[in-house]
Amino acid sequence: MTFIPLYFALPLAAAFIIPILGKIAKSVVWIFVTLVSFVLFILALYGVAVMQQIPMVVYKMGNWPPPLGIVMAFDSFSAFMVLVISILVFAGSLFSWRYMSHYTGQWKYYTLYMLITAGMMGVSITGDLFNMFVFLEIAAISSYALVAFGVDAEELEASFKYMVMGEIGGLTFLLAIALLYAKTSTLNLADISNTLQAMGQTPFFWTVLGMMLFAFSIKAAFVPFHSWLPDAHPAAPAPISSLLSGIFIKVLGMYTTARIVFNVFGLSRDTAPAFFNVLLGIGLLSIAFAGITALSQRDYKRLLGYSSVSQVGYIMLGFGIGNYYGVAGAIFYILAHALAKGLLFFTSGSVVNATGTRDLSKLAGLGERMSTTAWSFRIGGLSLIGLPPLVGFFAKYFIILGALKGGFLWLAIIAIGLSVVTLGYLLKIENNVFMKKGRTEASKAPFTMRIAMVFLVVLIVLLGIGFQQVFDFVVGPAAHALLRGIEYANLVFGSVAVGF
Amino acid sequence: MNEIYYVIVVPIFFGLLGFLINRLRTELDLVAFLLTLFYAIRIFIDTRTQIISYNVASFIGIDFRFYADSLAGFIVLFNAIFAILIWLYSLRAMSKTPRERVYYLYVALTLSAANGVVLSGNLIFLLLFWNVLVFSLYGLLQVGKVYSAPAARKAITIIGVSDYVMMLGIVIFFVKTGSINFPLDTKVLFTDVWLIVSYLMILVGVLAKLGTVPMHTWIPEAAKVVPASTLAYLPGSLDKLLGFYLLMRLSYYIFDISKYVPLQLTLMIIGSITIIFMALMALWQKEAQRMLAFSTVSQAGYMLLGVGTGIPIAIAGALFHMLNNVIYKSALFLSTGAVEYRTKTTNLDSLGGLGVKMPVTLFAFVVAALAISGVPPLNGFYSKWMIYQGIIETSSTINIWFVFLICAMFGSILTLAYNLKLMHSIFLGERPKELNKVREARFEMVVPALLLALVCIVFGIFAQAVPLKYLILPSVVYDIGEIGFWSPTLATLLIIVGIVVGIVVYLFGTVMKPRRTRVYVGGEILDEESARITGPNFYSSIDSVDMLKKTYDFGEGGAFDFYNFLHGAASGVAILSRDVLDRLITSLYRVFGKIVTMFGKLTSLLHTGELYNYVGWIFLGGIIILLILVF
Repeated sequence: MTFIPLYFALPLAAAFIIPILGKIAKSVVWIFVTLVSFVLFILALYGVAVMQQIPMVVYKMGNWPPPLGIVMAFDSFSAFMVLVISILVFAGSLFSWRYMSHYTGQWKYYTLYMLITAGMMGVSITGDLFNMFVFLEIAAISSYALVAFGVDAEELEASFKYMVMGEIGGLTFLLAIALLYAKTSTLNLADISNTLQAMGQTPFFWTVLGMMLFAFSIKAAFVPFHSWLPDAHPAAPAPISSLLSGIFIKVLGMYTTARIVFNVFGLSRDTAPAFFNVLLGIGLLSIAFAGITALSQRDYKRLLGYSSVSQVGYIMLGFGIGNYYGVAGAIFYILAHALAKGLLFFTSGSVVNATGTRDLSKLAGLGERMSTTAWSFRIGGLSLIGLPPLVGFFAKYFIILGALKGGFLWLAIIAIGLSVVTLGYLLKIENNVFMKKGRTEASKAPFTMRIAMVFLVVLIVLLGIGFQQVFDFVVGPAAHALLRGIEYANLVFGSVAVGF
Repeated sequence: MNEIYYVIVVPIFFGLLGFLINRLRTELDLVAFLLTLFYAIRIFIDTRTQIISYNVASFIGIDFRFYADSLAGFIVLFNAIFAILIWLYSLRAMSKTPRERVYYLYVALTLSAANGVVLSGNLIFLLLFWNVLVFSLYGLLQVGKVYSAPAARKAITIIGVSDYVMMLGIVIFFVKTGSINFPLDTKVLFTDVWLIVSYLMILVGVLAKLGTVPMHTWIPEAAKVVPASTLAYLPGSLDKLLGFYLLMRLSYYIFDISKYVPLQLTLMIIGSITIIFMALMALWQKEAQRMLAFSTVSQAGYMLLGVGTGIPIAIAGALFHMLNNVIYKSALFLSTGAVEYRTKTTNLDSLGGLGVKMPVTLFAFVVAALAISGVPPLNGFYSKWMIYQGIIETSSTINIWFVFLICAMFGSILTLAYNLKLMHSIFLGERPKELNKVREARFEMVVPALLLALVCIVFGIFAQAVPLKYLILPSVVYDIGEIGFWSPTLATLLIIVGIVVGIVVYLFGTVMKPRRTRVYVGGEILDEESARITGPNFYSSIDSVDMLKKTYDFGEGGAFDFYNFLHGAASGVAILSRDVLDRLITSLYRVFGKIVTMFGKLTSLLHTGELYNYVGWIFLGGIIILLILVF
């Protein structure tokens, strides 16, 4: 018995208990979900602590040895993702209580909420390709349902579009898995890695990798695969937008890409510069295109949606740079963006909850009435722009440092220059919603919502001040785990499981 | 060595405490500023004899460290002094205003960050504090007399953009030299075009802080809407101190521009343009604080000019001028602020004749105004004198040195002109009826201005014995040599003799007292109020009509016609400057914004919301990826 299966088993079990609890009492469901999220958070911290001592924990399902059975391979990068997921899931569950109170069928919402959590957790820790697909689809399908949760025409349309595009990605991934399986006769990531190394970089190798990159790009919403995201975000309830933007697209898109590219296909900037240049291209295109599009948006959440597309571009930039600081910067950026964007979507939820509209031109002067929301927005926004000493600054700093060490001076200049665009669209919200004269009718945000926002604000400030510790204990080891490359396979086959 | 921590942490800690415990705010702030002053003095004394430098943290090959030499000690001392003066003044001026609490928090935060900028020994570290300053400036500008968000926005736009440029400059510097600590073992020479670019880019940030052309436009804009204390604090004193500090660090400690003429010329040209244009703009204003704001910008030109010469005496002069400028400019801001506190207006048209009612304020104002105009033997004269001497000494390397000299001297004349206008309009001339009940401002408001005015006198008369000996010369690393043939003490004696003669002449009655007579206008009786001639009237007549004709008409008006002529030119240039320069800059911002928005609209059009369209994009992207990877 180890603690690893708990990460996905706990939310999965909760998802099936919730319908029963929902029949008994409504409020119990929320308390239960918050409790489970909190336990997950503690477990994630424990996971990070364990990773300080050993490089990897392998859990063999049913005690079957690796190439035959399904394994869970939990290393520092997984620990990092699990931690970020659990932070946002916990904050989101706090926020959901009052935000969801005017929806019917809340237990369905919480069931889906736990399912999407289980899916994301599973993707982050699995060591098996097909298993990864299954968890990915659990998360994706839950997210389709959650986007459509309001069942208005707009929401159903957004969800349908999202589903079609998401499934194009999902099925392409499945096809890639089938091709790989046909060629290598195995589904274990470590085993595939070994086989691929023996085969060499044939056209087949690149085709499969290209298909996977395509599939993950849709999930991660890079330009030009992003078009589902700006529709889905305004439609989804705010805590779900926060979860989708904050971590969902990163687990399903970024984590999978990074894991497959570095650890399974064993690529690095030295061996495959062309591939990494493609990553850089995707990243830059996303940053510029979506950032500029965000400037002309009039819908609070849609603007934030485009902003997410633009910001994941920075993460891809970091991976594309491919050296230690670049990758560490990208991982740091996953954390920083998750906190900041999660927080910004919370503020949007808080504004929508108070005023009933997301139209920037209709909102005005909320800065004084909703001061917690306004200040959360400001701090989250400043972190996103990269103002020291908030956590966002250090994330951007490492990416730029990586670019400079890798010899991409122009890339560093563009990356800093495009931050101006970020400032531009965030000021648009600040000016319209919080500072513009006039007053939209609004009440203060409810207590639990404010707690959720303050929780993230505190994290943004604290992790920024203590960035050295974050880097030493969480981000740095995660980057090492990725840059370990094909050593990954040896660890999976050689490691032993530790007791819980 | 802990003083360095304290001057950074103490203000914000006590400021924050005061913000939270509103009841004890004044006491806590007093503690904060006094403690900071105490530690600043200790740093100042320590840095006279040694250089303080130690690491805070070392991270990925970059040393985050503090560094204080004599220049830094000097700046820190005056940061603390000005903060405490402004705080003292604000006690009355800002009391009972709606956002008082936040105001004091920002004042404390600004002091902390300003000390941080000066004491950091690493460009990244410096940038961090520099950005906090942007934030606190934005916050302070938000606390306006009236709705000030647009002015704050303009300020943060201009400063923010220049900070980004500066950040890029630092990045380039880092890449080219591999180091961002200073001072380096050897000064960086301009061997590479990228290094020049890096210098210029960092210079943009410095100039924005100093407020020279073309990054000055936010200052007059803000002057309309924020209280005098904010103006005196940020654009008036701390911004000048910090901007000048970084200019010095950049030009003579990190790089060395004294061996590279083109950059010297750049600095001197920007300086000259700033002096002349902004002084002309100031002359044209009808609103006291706006005029002073332009004057602030204009004076920054002298500092640039002095630093640009690369001659030690002029650099010392520029430092002295910077110090003088913050002293008398703060005095001017504070005394007009005192007038505003009593009269509720700063519009020159509705002021006049307040000298009798507010004699102490008048005294402070006159001394400061004369000092800023460079009237000997006050301090402003002495520092300008040093700068002039430096410009003359550049004659061996710079062919057009006399142009700069003329600009500098002419600027001095213009400064006198607008200060006379200001003095005449507020304190002399006829007093409007409604101001008859005005009294001298409160004690706390008068004292800071008065103190500053006295400092002006002391620094002028005993220039060599006090400020130069103890403050300025130890703070620049150069040996400045002989200062020209100017003996302030002797000059003072002569001037006192002159004044005595003047009083004697006055008492013996050859000067006529003003004659009062009734004005007859076709039988109607005018009340005195509508016949009142306001100060700006003397200066305004040429705004609209033909300049030469008016000059002729006023030809018999004695000294005034000169001002009118000047004023016509001034208004011409001012209109030019407003319509062309200012608008050009504004429209540049706008055009840039338009282009980006247009592009944004275009990309929005691509998002039709139709599924087949989106799927098409997806497949296009997928095909491109496969093509690139497989072939």
